[in-house]
Amino acid sequence: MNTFQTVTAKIETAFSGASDLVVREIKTDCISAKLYFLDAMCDTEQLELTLIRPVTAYSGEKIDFERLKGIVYSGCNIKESEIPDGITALAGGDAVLCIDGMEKVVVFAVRKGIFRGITEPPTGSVIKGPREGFVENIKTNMVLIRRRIRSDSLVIDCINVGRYSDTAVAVCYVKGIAKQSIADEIKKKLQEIDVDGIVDSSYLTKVLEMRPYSLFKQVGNTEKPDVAAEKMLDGRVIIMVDGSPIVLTLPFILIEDFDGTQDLYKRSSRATFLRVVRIFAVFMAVILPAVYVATQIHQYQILPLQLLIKILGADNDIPFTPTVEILLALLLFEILGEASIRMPRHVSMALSVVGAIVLGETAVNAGLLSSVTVLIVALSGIGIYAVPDEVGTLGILRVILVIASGLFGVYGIILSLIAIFAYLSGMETFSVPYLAPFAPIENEDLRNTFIVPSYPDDDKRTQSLDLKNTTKLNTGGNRK
Amino acid sequence: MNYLTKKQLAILVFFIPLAFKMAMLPSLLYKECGASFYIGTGIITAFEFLQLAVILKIVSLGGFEKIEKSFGKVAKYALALPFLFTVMVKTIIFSAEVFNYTTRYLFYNISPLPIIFALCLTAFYIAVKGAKTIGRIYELSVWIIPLIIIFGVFFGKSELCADYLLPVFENGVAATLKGLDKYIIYTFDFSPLLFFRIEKGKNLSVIISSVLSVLAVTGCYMFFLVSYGRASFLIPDAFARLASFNTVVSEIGSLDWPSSILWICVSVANIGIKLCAIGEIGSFFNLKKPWFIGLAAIATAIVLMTALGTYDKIIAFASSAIRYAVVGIEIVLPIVMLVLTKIKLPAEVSLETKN
Repeated sequence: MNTFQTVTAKIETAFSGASDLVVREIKTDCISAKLYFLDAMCDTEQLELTLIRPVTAYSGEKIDFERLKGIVYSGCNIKESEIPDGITALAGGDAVLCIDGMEKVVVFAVRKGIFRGITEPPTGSVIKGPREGFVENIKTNMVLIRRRIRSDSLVIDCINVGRYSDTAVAVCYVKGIAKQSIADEIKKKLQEIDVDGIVDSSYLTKVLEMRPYSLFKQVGNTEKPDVAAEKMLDGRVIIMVDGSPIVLTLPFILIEDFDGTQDLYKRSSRATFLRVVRIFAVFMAVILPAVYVATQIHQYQILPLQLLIKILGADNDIPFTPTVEILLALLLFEILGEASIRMPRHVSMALSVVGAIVLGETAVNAGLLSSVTVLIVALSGIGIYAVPDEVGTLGILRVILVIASGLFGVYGIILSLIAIFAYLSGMETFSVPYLAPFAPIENEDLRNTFIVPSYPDDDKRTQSLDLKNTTKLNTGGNRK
Repeated sequence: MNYLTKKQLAILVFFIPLAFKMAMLPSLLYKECGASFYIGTGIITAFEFLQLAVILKIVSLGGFEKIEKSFGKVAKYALALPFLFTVMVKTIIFSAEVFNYTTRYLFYNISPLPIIFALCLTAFYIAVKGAKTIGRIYELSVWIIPLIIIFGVFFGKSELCADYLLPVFENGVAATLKGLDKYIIYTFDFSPLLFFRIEKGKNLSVIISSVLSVLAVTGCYMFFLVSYGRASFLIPDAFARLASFNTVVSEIGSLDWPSSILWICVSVANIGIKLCAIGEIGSFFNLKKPWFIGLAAIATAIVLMTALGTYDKIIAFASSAIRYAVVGIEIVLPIVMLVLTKIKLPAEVSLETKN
């Protein structure tokens, strides 16, 4: 068996189970070769125009790799690779050419781009501001970032992760702003992953989180390139995964999720007002059901007399204890939420209305739930969606608080909150305190937490990230 | 793990003397001292900060580690064990206060067992998490103060009468001193800080915070007196009555819940500090911190369930002769430690000369 036969046999054995492998033999006076590519993964038109036509039309000396580079028209990457690398490239959608007489193979980067177009992401739709969202193709996502940060300081480091999936993962940051140590630590963690495959960025989340079983998320994410770029300019590192439209951001602090996607594009006063409303809404959503249970069972004195009479009156004929009643209502709400996500889109709206209004109304009329309970759970349900990224966590927290409240009333709520905050206080993501800027108190960030700053006060990056380059805006002499 | 920043220390220093002086103490002191109780408490709180100054100096000089290096393990144990006693006694008294407030005011009818269990479990958890977590809890607690002020401004309807502040020392200076002596155990409470590491640097924020703490204690006592006058001895939980929400039941309910939340937060964190210090002492003897803290929490729970379950029993215990032992240790031992950390052994002196 000569070299050519050995090389081709290796490739054909590797893809023996792949019925979509196309083998195109090229035989002229100058070349005897076999071209391999996977059907539909490869841009055959480009392959024909740039490789097959010029090679078959060539008449001259025998073609080797150096001569081939002068013959083909392709603007794409052409490289000589060892056989295992060639097999990997072939599996990824490239074309591989085996030339008689060569021990190596030639890889042509002619992958076909069948990808979803750039659309507005469902999780971050805006009235004002860019409507572009990340897509599944990592290269498109890189372009979306590069278009926003046109600087040679933008670093995009690619690592392939996954034994079988060989997924491209890009670690991006702005050199000189982001902490190099954090970027290096992330890259090290990614390189250490030895797993079958990474099919979505959420897989990486579990690797990057310091406490993988925690209730609280420790890695930020976004589907919007403008938000990702803004976070990079603030000193964070972003991670893009091929096949996922969700981009991860690190380090993550809890208060980040309270920033609205539109905060940057609104007037400072309006954005500030909405941020305070969001914080209030979340507190209300989490604590209200628990406080209601506490007032029903233990702490009657917490309420004004008139309100107390109304609430106690409404709850008179309900066959459940207040704790069970609220837990039941919360469970119904969760079921409705889960079902409406999985229902076909055309019926989900109608069924949501049926679920929310008809079920709620019927449950009250049947005497199974009090109208106040339905109101409380509805308020809590609406409030929780003020910060959509934290819905999962807040949903569980309110159940925990309801149980604590059922057992110990307000005392239980306070002690549970102390324990929760104690837990959160100890959490850090890449050495950045999770509860910053509240604990530890960081004065500069604290101001920006409640007040969305406008020019020229938005001059500093997030101090809690402990960056060296903290100046975002150099006001010079313009500051009044 | 047991590391406090200067900012956290400043907040701790503000709350530590304040927390348990704002519960049962005002009414008890008024009963003993009359109108002069606020001056007496202010002065003794100022003295407390002398203890803090000594403790901070000891910590900056190396604390127990330095003593162990210079005088050996026996000296370290001999100094740590009395602190174990004082911190444990205070943990029990302060836990009893939280328990007492909770069962008397937050519930109409509840078994004490789950209340004690929940309290000790939470305090145990934050103690295990260490000083950094405790410091951050205090930082978070600060946010409740504006809430109290806002609620006080909008809903508080206190009728104040400044005449109650006078005459000062109406029962004589001796009566004031006698009252302060009786409840002296509620003071000199900074010794757990000996077991923490503290960020180096200027102490300006700590000094400001200390002054604010003295002013806050005195101010709250004065406010308490002008609000309740000669009936002050009938108001056992001062913190929950200062905003006087009980006068506007129709608007906000009769429970002054922002004050209650703040007080429970800082007092549980205070108990957490003490348990954390107990854990550190345990670690001197190569005992595992969580286990030792857990043991202390269980012991506290048992004492609360069996011996100190009622208001009268707590007062009797706090004002018993044990107070002299506790305060004596709290005052004398830091001074001894300061002297020991300042002493330069011949080996150290020769090393310095070489350098």
